[in-house]
Order: sequence, then structure tokens, then C-alpha cells
Amino acid sequence: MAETRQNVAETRPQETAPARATDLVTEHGRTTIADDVVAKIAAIAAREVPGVHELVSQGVGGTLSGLTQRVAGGGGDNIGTQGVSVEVGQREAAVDLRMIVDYGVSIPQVADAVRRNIRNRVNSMTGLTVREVNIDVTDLYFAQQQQQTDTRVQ
Amino acid sequence: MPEHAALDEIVIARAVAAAVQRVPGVAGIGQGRHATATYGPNQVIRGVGVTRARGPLDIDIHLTAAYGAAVDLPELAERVREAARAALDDLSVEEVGGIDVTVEDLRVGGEQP
Repeated sequence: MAETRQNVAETRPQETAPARATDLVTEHGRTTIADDVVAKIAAIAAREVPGVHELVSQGVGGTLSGLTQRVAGGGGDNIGTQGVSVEVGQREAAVDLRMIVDYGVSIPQVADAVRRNIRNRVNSMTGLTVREVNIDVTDLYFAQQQQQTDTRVQ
Repeated sequence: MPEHAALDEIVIARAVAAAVQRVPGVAGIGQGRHATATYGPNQVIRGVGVTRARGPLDIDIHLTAAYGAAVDLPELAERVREAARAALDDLSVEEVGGIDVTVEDLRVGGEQP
């Protein structure tokens, strides 16, 4: 199990968030964005990065969990929030992520790209500033190994 | 022009629901876990709550947003609020309090439910 849990101070970009309305209470009514929505944005953003094979929920072993996720996901092209937990405050959010990466990629580079993408997507879509993204790499995915098990199953 | 005093909450809710669903970026309404709805005889408008607590109408909209790289959710909520307000204007509903918008889910791929 490889783990890239970097210091927040190291990974936080130095620029301050652009001035924009993060205050969602307007004079005409309140806007609420569910935590699940923030988690989903983070999940999609993570999967957009090549090298990220799957997001896995806590507790269950990597590949098995990935399998149950695909089975239980069920919603066609819809995407779940397995493997992602978020803490959303007034203006900031923190994201915890558990993922399986493809064998052969640079894990720190993939983790950096995931952080960057989550930060950008969450900020542009919700206005929230992502304070930290903690990433647990729980397993590696070997494409060849998967093919072998596939043929064995057949 | 219909008189607003003659309008049922359910009629208002239906007009708001129709207007909100036409806003680009809205994938659907009333599909989440929250049971926001307006109830009438034999009918329910899910995702739009119209309540008249005291005087002005309060509108509560729960929607699913369509995922897209360019979607700004607070901005989408603002467009939804404008669409709802336009629908209320069409019905000559004048006493509107707040229009609360909750983005309760996000759908990937297509804007159709």
C-alpha cells in the first residue's frame, strides 16, 4: 500500500481565490449545494486524471470493492461518491479520497494532478475553495493481471 | 390575467416546475432524498415547494444539476431563480418572499432525466 499524504502547506497554491460571491444567501433567496454534489464533483474530477483506475470505499479490499462499486453503481453513466468523503464549510471544503492507480504511473504526479483538478472543478462549479485533498492510494491495478483473471472466469 | 388570489399553490408549483426544468443545466427536479413537494388533490409536484406561511409565498426548489465543465452552480441557481420569478410574474403572483434553490444532486451525461 502506497500512501501519498502530503503536507497541506506544501500543496496549497499560493494565489488567493479570485474575489467572487461565495456567499450563497442572496436577497432573493438562499442557494444550497448538497455535500453529495461536492463529493460527486470531486469523484468525477479524480477520474478525469489518467492513471486513476478506480475510487474505492473505505473498509473493503481494493479490487473487490471496485467490483462491487461497478455492480452496485447501477445508474448507467451516473457516478457515485464511493471513495470520496468531503467536509464542507461556509467557504472551504476538505476532500478525502481513496483510489487505485494504474501500475506504472508516477503516484506523486497523479496525486498532484488529482488535487489540482479537484481544486479547479470544485472551485469553478461551487465557488468553494478546496483547502486540502488527502489521497490514499490503496492498491495498484495491473492491466495484464486483470486480463488473465477475465479469461480464467470465461 | 388570472387573479392571483384564485391560484392554488399546486398551480403555481406546476408553472415553476415547468419553467425550472427548461433552464439549461438543470437535469431534473425532485429526484433527491428530500421530500420537497407541493401537494394538491390527487397530484404532487415534486421538487418544488410552495408555501404561504404568512403573507408572501415562499418557493423552495430542489434540483439535480447536469454535470459540465462550465457549470457554475451558484450561477445556475441564480438562473433557476430568475426562471421561477418569470413564471410567477406570468401568473401575476406578486407577493413572493424568498426563492430558495438547493442543488441536491449532479448527473453526468445528458440533461434529460
